[in-house]
Amino acid sequence: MTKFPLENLRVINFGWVWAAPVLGHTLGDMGAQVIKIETRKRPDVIRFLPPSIHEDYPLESLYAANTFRDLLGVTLDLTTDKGQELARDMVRSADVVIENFTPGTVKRYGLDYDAVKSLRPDVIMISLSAAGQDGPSAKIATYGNIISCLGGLDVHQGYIGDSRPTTYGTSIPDPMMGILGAFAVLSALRYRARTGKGQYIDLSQWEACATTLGGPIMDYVFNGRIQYPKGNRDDLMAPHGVYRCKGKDNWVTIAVKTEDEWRGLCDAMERPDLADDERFGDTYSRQTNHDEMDGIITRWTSTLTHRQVTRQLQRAGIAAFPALSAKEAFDDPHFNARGDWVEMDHPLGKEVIYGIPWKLSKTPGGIQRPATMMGQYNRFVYGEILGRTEAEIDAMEADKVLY
Amino acid sequence: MESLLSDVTVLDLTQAVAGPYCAKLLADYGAEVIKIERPGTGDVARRIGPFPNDVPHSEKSGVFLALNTNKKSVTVNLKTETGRRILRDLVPQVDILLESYRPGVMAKWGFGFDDVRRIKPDIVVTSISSFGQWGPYRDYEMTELIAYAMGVGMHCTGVPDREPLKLAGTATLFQAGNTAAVAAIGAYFGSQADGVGQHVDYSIMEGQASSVDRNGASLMAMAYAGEPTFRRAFGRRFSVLPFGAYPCADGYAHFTSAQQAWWPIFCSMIGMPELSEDPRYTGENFQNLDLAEEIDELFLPWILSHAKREIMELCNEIAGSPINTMEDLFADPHFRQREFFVEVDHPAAGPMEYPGPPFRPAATPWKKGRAPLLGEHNEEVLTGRLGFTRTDLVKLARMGVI
Repeated sequence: MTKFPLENLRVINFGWVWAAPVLGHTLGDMGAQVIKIETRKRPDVIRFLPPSIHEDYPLESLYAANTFRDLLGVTLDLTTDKGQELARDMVRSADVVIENFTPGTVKRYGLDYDAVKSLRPDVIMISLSAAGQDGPSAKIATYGNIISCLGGLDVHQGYIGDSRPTTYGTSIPDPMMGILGAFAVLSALRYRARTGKGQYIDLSQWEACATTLGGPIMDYVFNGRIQYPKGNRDDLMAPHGVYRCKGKDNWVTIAVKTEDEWRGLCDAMERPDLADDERFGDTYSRQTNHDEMDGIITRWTSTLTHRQVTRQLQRAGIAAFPALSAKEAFDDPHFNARGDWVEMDHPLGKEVIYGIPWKLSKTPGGIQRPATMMGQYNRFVYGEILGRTEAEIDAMEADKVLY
Repeated sequence: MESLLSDVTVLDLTQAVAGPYCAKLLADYGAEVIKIERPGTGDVARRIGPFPNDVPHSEKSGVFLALNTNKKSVTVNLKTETGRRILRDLVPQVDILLESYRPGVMAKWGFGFDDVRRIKPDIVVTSISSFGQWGPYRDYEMTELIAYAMGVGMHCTGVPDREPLKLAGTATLFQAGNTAAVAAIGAYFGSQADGVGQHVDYSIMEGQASSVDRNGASLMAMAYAGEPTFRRAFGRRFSVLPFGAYPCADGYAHFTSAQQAWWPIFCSMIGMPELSEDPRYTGENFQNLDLAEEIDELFLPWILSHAKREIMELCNEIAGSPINTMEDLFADPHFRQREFFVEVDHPAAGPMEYPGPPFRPAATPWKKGRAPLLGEHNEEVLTGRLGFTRTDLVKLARMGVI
């Protein structure tokens, strides 16, 4: 039995920051050998994000610990002739090539799809750019949070009643697009297995983001309606919100779908009178009087912790859960029972990272390598895979080709 | 035309958003997806809307129409013995089975993984659930709100001192469907290689916890450093440069500006190049957050007199961006030139524009297609694949099986 579905698959990952490494490690988690190309001239910004794993190693942040797992990091300066020659050698043996430079950049390095295809005819190459390879905004520079603003996610994000969005300020599209890229590559591998043909895949993160909007975009299509932030409210459920609990920054979510659940909530709050209160007589009424109802619910939740509220309501079959902080999730019995946090032996010490977000019955497999350090696999990749001698590698390091 | 997944057949027992999005990805890239729906009512998304002209109609729900393109709808009542037999007979004909029932329901009906594997040893069953197939919270009630709360994303979304915010829309569920599709295809690769089937247990909350956002992704970083997760205020910034959402001439724009190298670009942009080297704002003062208000006073007249489209052009260099509405997306010249939106006709809803491909494989294009009517493919699948006669189908329909 094969241990991993993608054994014997080689991926060259020129991509950096977040989405492209996520794509790489998703394939790596499934057994592919994924080589991550980096340069000290412009280190991957993920490496800088504090906190650092070790004060003597400023380029080994804990963000990288999660994102760069199952990748083989090598240094390579693609602006040098020798560096490009090595890149071509790598591509010759690659099944998959990943890049997320600004469109046009790969051509400068001699690594555009036509060039790559001439080196390896059945290669699958994927570009994860901001806006796709063509069109008037193709060269736009973005971070994940810009993608979510451009892509129509942020405009609906915010407190109810505020027209000003409370933008994520984070980068939700990055992990999403990395995973989507993995789906694209896997599907293309399936096609290659059937036909022997590789191909080029143009993934525009902006477009991909706009495919995840659901209701609001269809409301515009059907009715020309522009929706505004709904806070934590829902169109079909009420109450539906996040309520303050006892303790510092302690919050619980509650979502009520049916009349039975509403009565269950009233009982839990020891307010059976509310079950007959016409202000809250059905979902529509509760939505109309949501603020008032929130006040009543908060008076109850604020006397308990989010865990207490959750236990009580879930026992009554009502959807409720704490808004977990990172620390709480780390200690949570469910995540721990399912082995979601994985301890790895990193060269700089033990580290715990998040695991693969699904469980397999037959080939549990799992994360094989802790996050790669900068250039950690230079000897392995350039020596064992590409057949360069120790002396050649030393020389290339000295010449800052491997830099 | 040949597509990426032309040789893959999928039995889809999911409904609502996450599972159907997973199946949609597979269908839009070529897999044959047989969607089993409950007779009479069908997928719950048929009732979610939005509806054209706000008139509810089970064949016109926007969420359903967008999420079920290229699938075949077969109505089967799994609470009947014959309904379950139909399902048993379909299992040997498919490669992947997707389901999103509560843990235990499939087994109760005789379709636990071991049952299904006896019928077809190399099948991949992908279960999409709230909390997974086992673990202390397995039977907890969940909605999207709760998935986001458990996944840590919520605790760091919103502003300090106010309640944490849910992620808008249903992006969390789309992400879940996307991840489940990766898991399903990965497992399918494995089963193709060794002929051994696989049960993929995908839980929405684990998908969230492993990838929600920058704060969530640093879950461990936070745990190591003992730092709590936090919500950012609107104006919390890293330098004197603008940060967060600002009003502009026709809506809102967002700035994530932080780098000192961007200061001169910013000064030229707002027509004050003379400030480029002004020691009041450069050097050590660049990080003096007490100056933020002063800078905003200089910046607001400029930003308020510029429209989103201009901001897209002028502010890109300093990580400024319009916050696009749905109207903006439809009008966007880049989207138009790349023909992102596609017009699809539907027998009930008529021709409408829908979001197009999430990625574009050059040799095997994404399939433009429409969502099925409820039970539209009963005859094709039940007669074509299982050999029922048309008379059988009439009978089965009257008996409430299909």
